Amino acid sequence: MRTVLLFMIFAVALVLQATIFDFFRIFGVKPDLVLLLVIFYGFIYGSKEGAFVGFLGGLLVDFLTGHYIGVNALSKMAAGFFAGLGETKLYKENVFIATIVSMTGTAAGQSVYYLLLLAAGIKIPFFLGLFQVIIPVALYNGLLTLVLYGRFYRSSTSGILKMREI
Amino acid sequence: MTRRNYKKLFLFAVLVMLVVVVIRLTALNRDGLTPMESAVKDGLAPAQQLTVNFAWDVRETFSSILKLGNLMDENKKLKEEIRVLKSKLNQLEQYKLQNSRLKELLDYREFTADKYQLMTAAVIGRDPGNWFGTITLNRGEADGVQKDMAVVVPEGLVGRVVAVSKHTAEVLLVTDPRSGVGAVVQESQMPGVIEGMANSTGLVRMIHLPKDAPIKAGQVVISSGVGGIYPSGVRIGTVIKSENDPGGLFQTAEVKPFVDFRTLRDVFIVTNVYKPKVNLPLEGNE
Repeated sequence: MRTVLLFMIFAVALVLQATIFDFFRIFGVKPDLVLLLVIFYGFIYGSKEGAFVGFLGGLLVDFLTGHYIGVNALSKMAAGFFAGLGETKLYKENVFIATIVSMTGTAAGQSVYYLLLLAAGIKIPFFLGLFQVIIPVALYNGLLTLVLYGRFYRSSTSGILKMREI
Repeated sequence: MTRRNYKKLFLFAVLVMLVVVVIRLTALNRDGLTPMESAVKDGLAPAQQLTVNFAWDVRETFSSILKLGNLMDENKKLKEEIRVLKSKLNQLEQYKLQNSRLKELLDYREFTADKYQLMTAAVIGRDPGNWFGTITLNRGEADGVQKDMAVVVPEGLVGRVVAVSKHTAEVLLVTDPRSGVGAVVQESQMPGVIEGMANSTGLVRMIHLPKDAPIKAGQVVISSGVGGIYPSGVRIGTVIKSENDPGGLFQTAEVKPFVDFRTLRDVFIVTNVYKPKVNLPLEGNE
């Protein structure tokens, strides 16, 4: 049930990102909602879970876009893993700490994406990539964290997304 | 009948006659009021005024209370009417915009009728990320769309079809970093290649321009037709600035496309390009 719900949340995030958020661009970019959810998940449940969900979420995006399958899977896996590093070291209840984790996690995920594009032979000038995509997307995701994180955290700890105790 | 009763009857008759006389005397055609009448009228006038005003106030208050229920109903009805009219107005505004957009497309289709065969398509989806720039159209294999067909709008070049399903086509925008279009600077006919940068920037760059090419801001770049995918002469954008490549052999120009890719709704797929008939002079011909 929880897995189905998580999959549905990812699917909705992806559809919103491809449609409505195209009209709500800030600094020319739209947020990476799937990446944001992966980061939340990694931050709450740890690196291993974050990397796993990141890989699956990224793969979903790759299947929708249809080309260079794996670029999103790997970059989102890296972001989920990175966010999970803070699981035991940082206060997960604090939305401002979550915002900083989101921003750095987004920047890390987008940077890995950029490197994978270079590896695939797609050359994008470094400063253009950094200042016109990586940093703006990190800021946008940070802004959305302030609005979305509390709800996601409550659902994960005491709501419908709570993991079953083993 | 007693004497006393006769007296009463007589007095009553006198009273009646007196009143009849008074009635006659106070008919409308008399000259003026008697002093007594005047005194009574003038004396009562202020009291009458106050009473009448009070009566009006009471009447109006009651009437307002009674009307309040009706007014609320009326207000509700009017608000509903305003809501319906506003929505109709919005719809009309939408139709107006759609009409002007379609008219523009129709004009372009007629204008290019001797050059290309065009098929209209609507944008139904976009790439969810910020790096790549692709759009999905509502036309596919079933409509005769094939891979590598160019996509244009009246403003200029949009991109090319890279994948086709039965009912959809995926278009690689010229702003996508994976896109390359053979192009020339219209003024000097200097050739180069238009390459996309990160899609979110909305800009493209023209690479492989000769170092000594006279490239200036404001010059128009059009497609050259080299490569066979894009038809020649389609407007792409204007040069913003140019700089020399670090290698020293070429220069690169930043180009702002004419098309606003974020607001694309309807596009044309170029399904056929008519080649002009050219009779080349053969050797020995007159």
